[in-house]
Amino acid sequence: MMKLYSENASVKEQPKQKTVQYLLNYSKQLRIVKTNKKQYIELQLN
Amino acid sequence: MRSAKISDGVLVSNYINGSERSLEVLIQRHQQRIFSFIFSKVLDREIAEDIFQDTFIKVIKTLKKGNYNEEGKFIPWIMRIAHNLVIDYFRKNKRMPMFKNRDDFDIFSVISDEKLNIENELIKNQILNDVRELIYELPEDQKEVLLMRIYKDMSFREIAENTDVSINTALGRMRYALINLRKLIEKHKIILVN
Repeated sequence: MMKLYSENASVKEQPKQKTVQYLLNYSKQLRIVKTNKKQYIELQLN
Repeated sequence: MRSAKISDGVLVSNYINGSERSLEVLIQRHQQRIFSFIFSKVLDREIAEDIFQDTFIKVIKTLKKGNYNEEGKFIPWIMRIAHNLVIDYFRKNKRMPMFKNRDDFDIFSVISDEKLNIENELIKNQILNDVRELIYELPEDQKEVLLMRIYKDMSFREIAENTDVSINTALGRMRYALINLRKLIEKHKIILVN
């Protein structure tokens, strides 16, 4: 089977540090609250 | 924390239990592979940054909701998320270029060549982008098999199990998907230049 789409990238790139830092801050500020109705509320706490 | 000796599974577990530092280790460990993969498809740094960010936002939300089952497949899971977001990006940015068709050229002769130089690599990626758009015109069952095989790198056994058909049926759908894809390339007069 010929692969039209390969996961092996021919380039080695890195995301910007600010993108990574945003994700880390996002995670720290995120709180997930599960309600009685089994629904999720996402809270962004600064 | 000696991150080099801690498995992804343990880091994930620690993160779910409140260790934000574990998330940082996971991102640092896998960011190049994931970002490189995204960038190699969209060929635009800003878009790749956005998709990379969206990928990990989904990861963070899923982990914090407790909806992730650790089965030693953390990186394949993230790659599938990135896969799907890349596909979503191309869906939202549909492009159907009109080119002349050449009878003496086969797209698969370009794609199968692993010794392309940079210019040909760019051309190949453009062709791949065009072909991806055509995939969505296939019948649903053929499109499904093609996407699973090509974008999710699933075996035909896995495809058969996921779609509840025999392996032979999955193989047949793949065969017809490729036949129809060639017809669509002809129909849309996409030029496959080398």
